[in-house]
Amino acid sequence: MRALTAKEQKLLFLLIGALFVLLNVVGLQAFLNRQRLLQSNIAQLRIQLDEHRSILADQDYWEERGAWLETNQPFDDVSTVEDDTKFTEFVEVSAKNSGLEYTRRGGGPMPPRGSIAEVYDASTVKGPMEALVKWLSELQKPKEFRVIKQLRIKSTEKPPDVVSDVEVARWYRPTEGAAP
Amino acid sequence: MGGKIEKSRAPRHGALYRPFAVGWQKWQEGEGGVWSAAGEAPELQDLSPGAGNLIAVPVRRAFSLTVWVPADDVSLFDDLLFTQLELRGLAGRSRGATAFAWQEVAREDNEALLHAVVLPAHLAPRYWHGEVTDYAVSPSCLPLQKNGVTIWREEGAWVAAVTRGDKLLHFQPLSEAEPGAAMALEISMLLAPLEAGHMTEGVSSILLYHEGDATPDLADWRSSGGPAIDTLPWPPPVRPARALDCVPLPVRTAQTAKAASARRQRWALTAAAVYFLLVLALAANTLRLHWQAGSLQAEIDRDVDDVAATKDSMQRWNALNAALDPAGYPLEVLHQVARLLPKEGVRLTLFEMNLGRVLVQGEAKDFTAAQLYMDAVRKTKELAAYEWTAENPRSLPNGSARFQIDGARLGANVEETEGGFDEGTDG
Repeated sequence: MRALTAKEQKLLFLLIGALFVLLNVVGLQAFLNRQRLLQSNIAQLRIQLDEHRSILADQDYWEERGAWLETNQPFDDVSTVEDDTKFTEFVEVSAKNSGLEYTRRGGGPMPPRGSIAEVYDASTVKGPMEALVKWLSELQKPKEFRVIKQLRIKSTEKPPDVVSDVEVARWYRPTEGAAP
Repeated sequence: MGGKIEKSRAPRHGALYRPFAVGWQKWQEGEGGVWSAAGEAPELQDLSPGAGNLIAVPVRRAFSLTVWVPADDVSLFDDLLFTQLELRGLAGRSRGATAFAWQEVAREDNEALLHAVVLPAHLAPRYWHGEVTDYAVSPSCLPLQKNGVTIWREEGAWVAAVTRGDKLLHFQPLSEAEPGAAMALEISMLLAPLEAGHMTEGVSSILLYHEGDATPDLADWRSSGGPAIDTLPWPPPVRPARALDCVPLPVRTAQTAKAASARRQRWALTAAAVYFLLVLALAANTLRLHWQAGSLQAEIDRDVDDVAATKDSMQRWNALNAALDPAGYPLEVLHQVARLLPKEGVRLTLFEMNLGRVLVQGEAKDFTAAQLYMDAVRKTKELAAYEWTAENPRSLPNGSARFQIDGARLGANVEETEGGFDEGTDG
């Protein structure tokens, strides 16, 4: 094979140099992309770690509340309607006992969501404002896990009577069969 | 490229290559300066000279010039001698292109007797080697007769060297093929200008080195009435005190090219090292980032169970917050809204609330009373959990004003704020 001339050698060197530079540019780009990805990953992990530290800083606080919920939140056997009936009966009876005129507008169980088995009762009550306040205070107490989801109080022509639409729900823990 | 021979660097004690009657000899110097023959070859290259060796350039391949220079300042000798070389046509195209070296032989009054050795610009490749940087002329590598003439055979011809004291004064090839009367005459003619120039201290003897056991026939020399002549067998070499302070120009070119190549190689190696270090630094940084990510992930994984349990408790509590936090109970909100009512002049006509919103409507005796009440609701810290919005109260024909104020619980879901408010409003 014929030996390369000086010009051919120079051209070959330039070609190899260009290829080397090209490979380095591509390699460097891949390298830097990988580094950027890692840096972004590290930033996310740091945020996650900070979040975890922040959560763990209140660990005792939330564990206490979790334990309280475990102890106090009642169970609802979602396979039966026994508990639901008891709840709606309680709402109606307590309204009447408070001196209100009670008219049910609707109610029933809602599909369970997470740790909540919901049964609600929608009604219209009529009577003195004082009776309504008494009834509402009886309905909603922290340990009863009842929530007034909607309340509409409207004055009537004969104060202090009011007409109120109330939607009250009970948020128990769902279970199948007997409570554990 | 000229210089005083005494000033030049000392040769290393490697092999010495010198010409002899037919071809080249290689001599190796052992302990105590004892020389041993290491080979003979027709060509120098066959003996593979290398760096650290010394090559004796044959007499016929170098020029000898002996001159008196009118100065005693050694620093001027170089320039004065180069001028002499130029005058005699022995200099190259420039000072840099002239390979010459010199030594001071004697000094009288303000004059110095210098002997210069000039190597031709185009010395044939068979007399040098690119790797060898130590050169001498062959007479410098022989034990020369003091204040005498030494004759020997090189490359198939006789050559002669003249000394003053023990210093080489002059050398030149001889034209005669045999040491006879003609050669005796030639030696006398060689000495004549030297003696005429007061360059010798009187040549006392002539020594002829012969190769082989047989002494050459000198009857013709002696019968001619020429100077007395002795013979000795071809001796081992002597190492010159110093090598020439110059190298043949092709060697210098080869050395320059070699140095340039070495420099290029150094640059390439430096560039490669920098490149390698850069790649290493990038790789190390990537590894560090990998390690950092792994370390963070491990730290996260270590607490993941505790975090999940805490989060679960948090989510359960927050999901049940509307049932658990009395501050958000409708009755409490109603109490706070009612508490702000003045003793007279404002009354509520509608209170509506769901898990995320509160709507309050009422009537006031006038626009100002309505506005004051709405401001009170907006500013009370007990209701700061809601963001309140209100339009301007609407004046009624009887002078009273009707107002409405709407509160959205901060942080409430959209679902919680929806529903139930459309029917109730009577504005």
